[in-house]
Amino acid sequence: MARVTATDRPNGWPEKAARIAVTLYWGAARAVSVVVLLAAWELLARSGMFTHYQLPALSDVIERIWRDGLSGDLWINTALTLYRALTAFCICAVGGVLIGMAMSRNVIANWFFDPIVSVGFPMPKIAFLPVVILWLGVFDVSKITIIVIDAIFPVIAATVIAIQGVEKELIWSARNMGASNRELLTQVILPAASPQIMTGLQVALPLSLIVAVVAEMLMGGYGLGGAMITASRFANSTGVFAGIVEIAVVGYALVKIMALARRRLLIWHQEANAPSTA
Amino acid sequence: MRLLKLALAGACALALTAAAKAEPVKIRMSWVVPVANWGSVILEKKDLLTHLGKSYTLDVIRYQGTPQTITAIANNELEVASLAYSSFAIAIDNAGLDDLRVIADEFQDGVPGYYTDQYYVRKDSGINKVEDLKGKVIGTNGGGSAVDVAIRAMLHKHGLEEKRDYTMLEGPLPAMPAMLLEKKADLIPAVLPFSFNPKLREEGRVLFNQTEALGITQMIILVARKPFIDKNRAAMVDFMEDLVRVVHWYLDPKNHDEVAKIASALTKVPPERFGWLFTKQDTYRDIDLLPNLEALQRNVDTTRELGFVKNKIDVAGHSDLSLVKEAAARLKK
Repeated sequence: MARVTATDRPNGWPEKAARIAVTLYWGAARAVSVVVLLAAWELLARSGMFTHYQLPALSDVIERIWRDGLSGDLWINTALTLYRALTAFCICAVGGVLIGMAMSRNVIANWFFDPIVSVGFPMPKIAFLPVVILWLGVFDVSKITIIVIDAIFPVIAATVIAIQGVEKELIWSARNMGASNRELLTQVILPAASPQIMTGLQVALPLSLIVAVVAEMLMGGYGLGGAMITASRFANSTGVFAGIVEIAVVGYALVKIMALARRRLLIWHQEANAPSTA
Repeated sequence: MRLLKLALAGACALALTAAAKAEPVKIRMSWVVPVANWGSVILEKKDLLTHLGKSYTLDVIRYQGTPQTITAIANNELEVASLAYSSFAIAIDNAGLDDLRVIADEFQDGVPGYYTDQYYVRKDSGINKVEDLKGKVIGTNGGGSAVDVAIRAMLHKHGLEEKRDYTMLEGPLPAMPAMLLEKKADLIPAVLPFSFNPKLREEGRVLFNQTEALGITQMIILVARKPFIDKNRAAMVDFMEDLVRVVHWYLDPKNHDEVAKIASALTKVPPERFGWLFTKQDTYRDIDLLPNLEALQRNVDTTRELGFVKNKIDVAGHSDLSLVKEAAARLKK
C-alpha cells in the first residue's frame, strides 16, 4: 500500500484540507481490520455453521444494543461500570503516585512498601475477591476496593521507575540554583517523571475497567459485567455478545481519552507525541 | 492373490466393526452442588455400577452453575446434565435446545412429609405478611434460579412486582443468612443445609415456604439430548440401571452412617452434621428417579408467566422416561 503523507497533497489543495484527508485516509485504513472482523462475524453467524445460541449475528447484537439504549438499561449499566472504574482509577492515580513518590524519596517508605509491591504486583489480585466480599459486602465499596487493589500497582511501579530515572544533571542543576526539596520535587522531578507516570496511568485505566467488569460478573447486580452474566444465566447469548461489544467500545473510548489527555498534559514534552497506546 | 487381499480386507473390516461395537459409550455427567446432585456421589459407589467400563464410561464434571452447563450441553460436551426446572425452560426456549429431554428426577420440593425451602425475614423487621415486603430488599442467588422464581411467584401472587415494588439483591446461597442478619436484605431464601443455621433460626422467622409459592416443585431434573439417547439407548439404559441402584443404596436408611461419611469427605464438613441427609428432613428424591412431570409443567409455566421464557413448553413432549422406567423394571426382576 502506497504511503500517503501530508506532503503528497495534490497541487492547489489547501494544507488543512490535505491534512484532514490524510487523517481520514489513515483512520479508514486502520478500521479495515475491524470491518473485516465484523463482516466475518455476520457471515459466519448467518452461514448455519453455528447455532444462534453459539454465535448470534452482529445485526441481532446491534439491534439488542439499540433496544437497551432505548430502554435506558445501556446507559444505567455503562454509567455504573464507569463510576466504579473511574472512582477506583482516581484513587489509584492519587494513591499510586503518592506511594511511588514516597518510595523513591524516603528510605523508610521504600523499606515498608517495596516488599508489598514486589509480592503484590505479580499476584492475581482478583483472588482477594471472596475476602473483600466477606469484609465489605457485595455493593460498590467492595467492587471499587478490588479494582484499586488490582490497578494501583502499575501506577506505583511506574512512579518509582520514573522518579528514579530522572536525569541527575537536572537535579544537580536545580540544587546549585538553590531549589528547596519541595521545589525540587514539584518543579523538577515530577515534571521530568510525568511521561512515565502517565504511562502507568494509561495501563491502570483499562485495567480498572477490566477488573470492574470482572467484579460485576462475579458479584452480580447492575453494570455491564452484571448485565452480561444475567444474559448468560438466561442463555441469552445475544445479550452476552452485546455486553462484549459495549465493553469494547467503552474501553476503546477510555484509552483514546487517556491518550488525548496525555498529549494535552505533556504538550511541552518531547515524548508527548508518542504515547504507548494512542 | 486377489482372493487373499479380499479376505484380509474383510477380516480387517470385521475386526474394526467388532472393536467399534465393544467400545463403551462415553457419558459425561454434570453436577453443581456436592451431595445434592447425584453426579457428585455416583462414583463413590463404583461397586454398584455393574455396567461401568463395559457398555459405558462415566466422567463426572463439576460446573460452576447453570449457564456453563447449558453451554456445555449445546456444544455436545456434556451428555447428562442436572438442571433446575427454570433452567430447563431457559435451555429449550432461549438456547434453542429443543431436543433436550427430561430423563430422570433428582429432587422435588414440597412433597408432603418432606422438606420445603423456607423464606426468612428478621423477627424484628416488622414484616408479618408478604404485602409488607413492598419497598424492601429481597435476597436472591440470581434471576431465573429455582428459588428466585419461587420468590417472584409468591410476591406476584400478592400483587408485588420487581423494581416497581421491591429490589432484588444477588448473593450466593451460603451468604444469605448473613445478608439477612446484617440487614442487607429483608427476605432471603434458606435452602438446605443453610436453613439449619442456628442464628438464622433464632433471629429469623419463616414468612412463607416454597410449597405456598409453587406447590410441589420438580426442583432438579436430569436431562440429555434426544440424538444422543436415540444413538446410545442400550448404554443409557445400562447407565440408568446403575444410577437407580446407587440411588437405592443412598436412600436406604441402613446405609445412612456411611452416606454421611461420604458426604463429609466431599464437603469437608463433619459427618454428624449430615443427620438430615436423604431423610424426611431432606427434599424428596424418588427412589426410582421418576420425575413429577405434572409439577414440572406447572413450574415451567410459572417460569414463563414471570417472563423468563417467551414460549409455552410442553414438558411431556420434552421427556423420555422410558430409560429410567426400563432401568427400574430391570432391578425389580
